[in-house]
Amino acid sequence: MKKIYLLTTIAIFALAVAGCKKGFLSQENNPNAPSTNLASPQNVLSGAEEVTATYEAGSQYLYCEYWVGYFAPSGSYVPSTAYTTYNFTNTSFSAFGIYSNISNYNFLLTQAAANPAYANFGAIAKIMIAYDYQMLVDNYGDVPYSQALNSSKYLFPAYDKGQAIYDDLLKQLDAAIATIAASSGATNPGSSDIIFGGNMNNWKKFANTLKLRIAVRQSNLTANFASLHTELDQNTANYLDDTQGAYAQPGYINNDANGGQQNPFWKLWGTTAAGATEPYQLQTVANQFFVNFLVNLNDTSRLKRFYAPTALKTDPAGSVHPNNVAHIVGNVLGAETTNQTNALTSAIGPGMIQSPTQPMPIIQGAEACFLLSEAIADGLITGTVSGGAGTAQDYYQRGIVSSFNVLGTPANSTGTATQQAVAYYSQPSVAWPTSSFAAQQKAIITQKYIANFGYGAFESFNEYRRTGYPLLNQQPGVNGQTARSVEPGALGTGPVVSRIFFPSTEFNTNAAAVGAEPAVNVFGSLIFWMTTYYTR
Amino acid sequence: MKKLLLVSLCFLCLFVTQIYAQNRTVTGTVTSKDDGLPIPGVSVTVKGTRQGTQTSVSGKFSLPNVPANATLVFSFTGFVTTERPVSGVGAVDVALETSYKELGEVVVTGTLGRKTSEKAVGYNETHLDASAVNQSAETNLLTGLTGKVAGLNVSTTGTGVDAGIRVTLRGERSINGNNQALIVVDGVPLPGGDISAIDPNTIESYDVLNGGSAGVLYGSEASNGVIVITTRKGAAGNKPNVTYSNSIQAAQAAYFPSIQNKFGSNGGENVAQGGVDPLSGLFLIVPFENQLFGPAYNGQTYVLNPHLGNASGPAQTGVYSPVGKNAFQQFYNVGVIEQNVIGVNSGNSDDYFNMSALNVVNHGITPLDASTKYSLAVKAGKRYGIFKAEYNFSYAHTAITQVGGSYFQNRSVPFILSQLPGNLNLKDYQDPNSAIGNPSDFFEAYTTNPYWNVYNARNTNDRNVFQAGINLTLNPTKYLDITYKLTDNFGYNELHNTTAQVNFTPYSVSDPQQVGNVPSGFPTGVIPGTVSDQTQSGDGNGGLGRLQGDLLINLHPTLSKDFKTNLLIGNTWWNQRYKSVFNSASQLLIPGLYNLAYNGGTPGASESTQQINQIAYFADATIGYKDFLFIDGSIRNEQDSRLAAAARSYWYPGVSGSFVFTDAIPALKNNKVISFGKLRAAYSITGQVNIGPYQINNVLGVTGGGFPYGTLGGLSLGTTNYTQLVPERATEVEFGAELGFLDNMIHGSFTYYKQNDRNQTLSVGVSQSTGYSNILTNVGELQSSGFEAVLAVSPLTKAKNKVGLDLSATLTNTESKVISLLPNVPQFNISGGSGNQYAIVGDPYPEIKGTDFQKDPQGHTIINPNTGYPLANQTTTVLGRTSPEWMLGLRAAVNYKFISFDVTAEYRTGYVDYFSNSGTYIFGGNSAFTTQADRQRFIYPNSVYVNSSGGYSPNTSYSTIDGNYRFWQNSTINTTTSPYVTSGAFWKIREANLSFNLNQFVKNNKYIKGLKVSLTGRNLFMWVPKTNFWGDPEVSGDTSNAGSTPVSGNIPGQRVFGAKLDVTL
Repeated sequence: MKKIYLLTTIAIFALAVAGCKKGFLSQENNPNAPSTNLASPQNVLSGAEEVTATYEAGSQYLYCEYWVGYFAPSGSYVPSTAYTTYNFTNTSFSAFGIYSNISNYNFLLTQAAANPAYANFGAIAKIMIAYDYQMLVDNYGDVPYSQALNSSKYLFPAYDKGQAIYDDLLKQLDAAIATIAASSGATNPGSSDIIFGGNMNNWKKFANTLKLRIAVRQSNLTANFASLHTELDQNTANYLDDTQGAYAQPGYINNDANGGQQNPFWKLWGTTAAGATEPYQLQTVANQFFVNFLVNLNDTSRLKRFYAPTALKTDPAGSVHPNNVAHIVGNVLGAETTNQTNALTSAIGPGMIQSPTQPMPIIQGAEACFLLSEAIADGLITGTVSGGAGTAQDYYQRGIVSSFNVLGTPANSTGTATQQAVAYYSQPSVAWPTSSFAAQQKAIITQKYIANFGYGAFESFNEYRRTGYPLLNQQPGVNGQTARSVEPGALGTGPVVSRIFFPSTEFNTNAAAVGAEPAVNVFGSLIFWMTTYYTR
Repeated sequence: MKKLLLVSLCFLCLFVTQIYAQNRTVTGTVTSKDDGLPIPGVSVTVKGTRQGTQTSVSGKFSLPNVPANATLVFSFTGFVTTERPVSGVGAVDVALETSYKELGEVVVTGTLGRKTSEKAVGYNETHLDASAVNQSAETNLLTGLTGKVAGLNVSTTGTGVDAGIRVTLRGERSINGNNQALIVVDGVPLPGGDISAIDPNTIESYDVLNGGSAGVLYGSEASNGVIVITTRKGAAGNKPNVTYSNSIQAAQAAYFPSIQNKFGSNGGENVAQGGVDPLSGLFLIVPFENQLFGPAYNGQTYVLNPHLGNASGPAQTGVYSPVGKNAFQQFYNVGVIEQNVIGVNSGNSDDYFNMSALNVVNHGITPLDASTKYSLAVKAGKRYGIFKAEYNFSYAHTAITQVGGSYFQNRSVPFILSQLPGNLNLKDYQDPNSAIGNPSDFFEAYTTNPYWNVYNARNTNDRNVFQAGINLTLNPTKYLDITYKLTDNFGYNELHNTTAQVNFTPYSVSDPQQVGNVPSGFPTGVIPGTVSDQTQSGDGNGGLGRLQGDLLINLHPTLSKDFKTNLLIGNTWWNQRYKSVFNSASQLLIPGLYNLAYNGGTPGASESTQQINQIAYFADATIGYKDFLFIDGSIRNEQDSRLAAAARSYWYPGVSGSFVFTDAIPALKNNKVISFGKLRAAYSITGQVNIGPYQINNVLGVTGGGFPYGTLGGLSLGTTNYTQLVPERATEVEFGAELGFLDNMIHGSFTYYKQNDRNQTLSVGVSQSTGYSNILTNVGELQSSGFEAVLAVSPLTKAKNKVGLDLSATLTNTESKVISLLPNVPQFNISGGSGNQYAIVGDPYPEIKGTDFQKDPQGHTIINPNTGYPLANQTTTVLGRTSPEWMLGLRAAVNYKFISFDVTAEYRTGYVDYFSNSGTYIFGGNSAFTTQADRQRFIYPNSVYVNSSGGYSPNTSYSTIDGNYRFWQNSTINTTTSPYVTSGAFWKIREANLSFNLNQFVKNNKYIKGLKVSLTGRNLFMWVPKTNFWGDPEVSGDTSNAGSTPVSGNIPGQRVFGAKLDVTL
């Protein structure tokens, strides 16, 4: 009797547990993260646009901030020698991280293809993919494009020529514009579009401005100049300008939760909600080159917006700076043993970090104006001349005014920000040159360089490589200023490198494809739209 | 209670023995030939029957109903089995000899807790008595195995009060998956589990099964070898006893990076900050600096901080001469580890009750760091005729408190210490609220007072571990056992990290010295307090809890006199589960109140859930022929929930055999020279499911960078592409021999193995242009091979020479080669560690890869003639393998009368270590590495430059343009990987113990039955090559496969010594 009882107990245990739980071994449902079929395009769009905004904040472009002369390493913190000697490796910089966000936009394309109601999402995705790829091409020339983002078919994507990618991006942007025109009844992304809040007309403008940026970048190549002219929309009303830039605003708030909910640029350069100064502001200070550059152009209104006055309100004895404006003092790149500590140098200024909730610029209105100005001056766009509006000169001046205003320049004895801007561009050194396109281009790029301070370091790096402006290495004026590192061990001859290496991750994971690319000389290899390695 | 127990014992004895009523009772005493002391627990059996008993604590036995012509067999682990006829009348007194001679007779515990004779084991197996492992009172039981088992590598991660360990056998099998050995306690796997609840005194033995063959029956969890821990059942000699042991040890920080003691503070400040003499250009003392590029210490008195408190406050002065002890030596206390264990043991293996209570208090070398553990364990069993029931239950509570990061950049204490100058009396800053120690007035501008962390940043951890099990066995006939086991290992773990609010004085925020000090980075003058909480439900230790059921049916019919057979079939299912909820707040409103509800912003929150289920069936058959030839075959089928349905079911087979030729060949029996010889071979296929749960489908995650913003959510695709996976598959073949010579005075074993692990489950890095950073797939093959050798010599025995001397050595060689990876992918970046470790096709595994200087074809460093500085190579290169190729363990034990002394040493070599965060020691100028040229300009050793014809000329003239700050901070020396890669070789004296067995002095005491006093020491000395400036090669960063990377920022390695008392009542 007892035995039977025990045997039964054992048998029940054995069977009960091993057999009776249905689905014991099935784990198709992941309780920790949604699988791809559960994601709405709204969530994916807002996520992807915010990643773009964060990328635009530029943590991976700190080297551009240094090399184009905007910033210099702090005297209180140890800089990376890669920045001060140009002696860097293929592990130093990589822009290939953009691909992981392209894959999000690409996922939106898939969702839009499956459901026509999401056509607008698809159009935005196409535009942003083009935006991202231009960045990749400008970094590397050739990158994977036609075989990219198709890992089931191409685990080792081949590299496409930069020119071919540029050509296709223009086509893709045309397709996106066409989709927007044909999809008025489709679902509007609404607030999930953190850049334009679902305003598809603004997306059309963004697409045209992007096409313009792509066209202007390769305008030195005379062979395709004519075709670019036909490719571009000749109506300047269809472009972003000083009245409509592209800014991301998901609802930034001053809160440290979820990794920080502030504007991403603020998150790098500002303070935490708890009040601590962020590392970039501590480790990066004004560059004396840029201080002198603005002083030479009598651009002190914006200088005070770009940089903060030194914590020390009076100059220390024996250390009087010839161009000290409102106690704005910079360091010199590579002068580590003579650079001064943070208290004696200027940090990033109030015009750049205005508020933790400020919108994040993607393409500023000023930049769009300067693009239009150069395109019109160069003849890529005819321009509409009625009462002086819509000329190259008009856009040049509107770009400057926009920059003064965006920086929150306070009124002074000259007047409002706009009045200060007008006074500024009325001086001979800044005035619109009528002499030649070369002079006009130099003026436009110089002003774009100033307006792109901080947010657009990569664009300034690109435009210097394209045009050789502004003169970073032989700036006339005080002390024969150069933005080039003065560190004796600094390699090369120019203030910026001609390009960066393909990243080590590509050599580790896609060796054959990247190996087929020509060897990179960072002091001479050119991206296809460059004509010379400028060292001027 | 005691009475009841005894009554039931008597009842059982009667029940078992009543049929022998005709025979007589034999009594006697068993002693040890070595010291004449009684041996408790010796098994006394009547030869040819199952009838038997055990000796009592006083070595006495009484065996009723012994037939007149019978022979008694006395056997006990560690002693020669001895037979005595029951000759007529009187007591049978036996003196047993110590046992090294009985090679092959040792009973080992194999898979599923089955006990077999060592003779029958077909794979490399090391059996260690608990006493040999835990004599130096390790706080982690497994650390005691280091240096004692060939093929075993125990590495410690961190050396704080909550150090983790990583145990591997036979090197690495899985490139990126788990390589740690499976721990099995009394037949039940405890994957990643906590064995610290086990009273070391209740452990009977450790059996280390190196290869996959041993683990076939455990399936996918045991492919990395198994460590079987067997606990005692009942009390020696059926006599209830109480044991108490106490151990007190001191721990001393001993193994630091090499610190220079010659140059003080300067960080390259220019004239304006008083850093450089304007006339000579020489570097002056810069008191607020955290870099040490100042002048040599010269004994002058100087101002450390011009004004304490406010602008009119007094100055703080210091003396510019080294105090003799570096900051590490001054900061770390002598740690104290106290262990108390009480055990109550009664009964025998059929009917027993054991209970133990354990308390371990570990005061770490870091002030205030401590871990306190209490555990209680109960284990009991009872036989009712053919039915036996056992249960066990234990609860352990561990409370840990450790120092956290600073308010500035969350810096760890060792990191802060690495930036303090050698002329600092650190103890003056012990009070972080004092005039010179407070955050506003601490003299260093860029580093904080390490004692602030001690008192204001605490990470606490409360672990609660429950283990429970029942074990029901039925023996319906002599040939059949049926067992069902149900075990659960569960618990919860609470982590609570806090940092206190910091208030700076307005004076300090104004940065009075105008140097960009830490307080000026907090313009509001306040850093709010923070808190983060995590609750993990699982095994109570941060891992997964586990509920498991095992059914075992064991058939062991005797087919003939010559053949012994054993057939086992069984079923196992298990369920592992884990849930974690995490939340945090970083703007606490009320100082000292660490509660999420009182926060100035939104708290952060996240959660994670995991479940893994498995069902398996297995069978095993053993055939033994005449006790000298054994063959064993086993097979297991397994279905695992982590795999997709189509790929879920897997088979693992294995076969092994052994041949004792000294028993089989009559000519070799009783040979004087070769006394024992066994050959063995094993082949197995095992595997591992090296993925986490739910890695079947691609997923999206919350977009990083602030989401959700109000009601706006954001999702991004994951960067890993999941594909259909199968388990890894390891094929292993091993051959071995065990030999004894000269009456087994010299004996040893040798094992060669080769294993090929295919279907490696790797999250292979793919070009980011595919849209993913990684693809999780089955790819590639890792081959590893090597040998494990043991040699033991006992030139002197206590019985013959009065002094006993035992010497033994273990030698482990591990070679590995990555056979293949994904086509076109020559290398794989292993996760964890410093992130620089790779599997590279055709090379040993793993290797460190990093940046190096440009080299000419002869390997000379190419310098830039403009600066004399080495040039950085633009691509990364392989800098060496990071797992030891050779490990040598040496032990010596001496016994004289009641005194015994033993020492264990270990040597490892054939690998490099990358001290991943040592950069701070170079740019900070604290490392002795930076004073090799005495801070003068120097010609970079073994360097060349590119000459005008494009060739290389030896550099004999281009000195570095600076030998001080600019070279060490500003040249590539600071940012290149290779200066921090150094030989990982070391010799360590692992253990030394001196013990006094005082049993003989208390044998007449009424209350005390046993007494032992020992002096213990661990990691007493270490020797490393001169090129190692960076510290203890053994202190690794984490338990990942790449975690062999040591980290200079860890708490330094420690020397531990103390005393231990064992009393039996």
